[in-house]
Amino acid sequence: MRISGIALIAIVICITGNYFSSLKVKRVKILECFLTFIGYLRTQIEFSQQPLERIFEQAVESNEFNDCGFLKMCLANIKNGLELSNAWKSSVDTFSKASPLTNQDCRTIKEFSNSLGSSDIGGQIRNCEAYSEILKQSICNLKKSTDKAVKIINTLSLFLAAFVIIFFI
Amino acid sequence: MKYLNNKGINDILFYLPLRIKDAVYKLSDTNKYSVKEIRLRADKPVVIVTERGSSFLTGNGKLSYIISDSLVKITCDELSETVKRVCEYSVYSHQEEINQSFITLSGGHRVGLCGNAVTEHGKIISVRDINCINFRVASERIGCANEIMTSLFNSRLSNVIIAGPPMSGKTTVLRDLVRQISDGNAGEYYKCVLIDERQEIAGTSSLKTQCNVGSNTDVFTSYPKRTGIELAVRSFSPDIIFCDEIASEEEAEVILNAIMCGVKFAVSMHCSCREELHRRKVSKALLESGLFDAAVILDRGENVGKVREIIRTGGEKNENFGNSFDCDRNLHYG
Repeated sequence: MRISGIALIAIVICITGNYFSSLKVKRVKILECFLTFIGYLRTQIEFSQQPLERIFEQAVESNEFNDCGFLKMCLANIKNGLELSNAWKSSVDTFSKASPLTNQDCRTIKEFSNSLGSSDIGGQIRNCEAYSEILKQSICNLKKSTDKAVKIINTLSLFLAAFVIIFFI
Repeated sequence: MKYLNNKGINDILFYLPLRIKDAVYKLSDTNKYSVKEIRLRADKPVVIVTERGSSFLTGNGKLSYIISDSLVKITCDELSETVKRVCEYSVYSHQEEINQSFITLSGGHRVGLCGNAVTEHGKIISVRDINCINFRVASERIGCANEIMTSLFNSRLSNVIIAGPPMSGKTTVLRDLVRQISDGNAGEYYKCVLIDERQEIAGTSSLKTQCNVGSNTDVFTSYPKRTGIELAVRSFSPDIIFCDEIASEEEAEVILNAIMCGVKFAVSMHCSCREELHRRKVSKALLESGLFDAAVILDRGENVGKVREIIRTGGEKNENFGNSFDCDRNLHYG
């Protein structure tokens, strides 16, 4: 019983460590997906000049941006008659509750919608480029800290598990 | 004549602010389905234009011909929101149309816009502070081109100009003409091409045409007329090409060149009377070329497609219409 209990504690510590490191990885994945989406949006605006609702529809149908679950929610909100900026912000808020995105990440994603669709093609391209740069910087910094943190968390959790096992056995 | 305007007003309601939508919705069916235009101006009463003329909308869904406090006014914020909705929250997607003061909605309805123009070297590059919107309800009038079909397209194709003052139904008549010729009412299934520069005739949206333009019609949507005609002649071997609102001599030149390649044309243009037809450079160029068979002048009124007169080339007298008279021999038509 004692050994089982100790083993269970060790497993829980390992799993917890893995969980926190996977959250960080997932956060990077969502931001990278959003960065790719901005690139896609820029191309569509520049060359097809389709309205945003149609671009969002095509993006959701393509299944390439499934990590950005707020896109599907935003599209549903637009189809329900909500104004674009409100639809976008509301869907980001809903999505962020069950995602590892931080408040800063959400603020950046929401602010992107302030200028979305409200200017000519040149303005839209500049908006996409500006937010691409912001996101690239964030992702780069995040990846560095995530790699470090993942290593530390994984190592710590293993040591902690080993310590518990040795100490109690 | 079958009147299909029911769908039109419902399409427009989607874009209106909630308060205005509610008031329009309360209109009686007779009034609702005779609406031709809804005019919105910042902080001014909403104007409804029907076949009986302009009137003001009241909060309880009545039409008033007197300015009073019971009229529904649209606020600046509501107007801005309406503009965003009309642009599908994608101004860049409609920038070119906005610079030309109109946007075409799904269904072929035209929305006129005006505000402060931003210009560069005399050319409008953008419009800001849009303060007036005019929703023009498109309507399909099946059969409104019957008189023209009988006179000019009875078992053959003709080169025709359809002229008339604003709101005389030129676009509606042209639409019915395309449909009828495409569906074989001129004797056979002629290959029709429609150059729908302003997206008003076919109302194409996501590959489908919202209005019936016939089974044998190829639609060039948003192509400038000049380019569209050249491409159509090159790639689609049309028997007849339809264009709306010919306004420039360059367009007239392209049309005449295409006619000399063997393609027939049915075109519309703004013109209120025969004398104006003779004075305007574009119509004069087309008629004096001798390549057009007739010019049809439409009348304004409740009956869309009502023909005031048909001017045939060659000086033939038209027996069928009360106001027709002999062609002026000084015009030197064909």
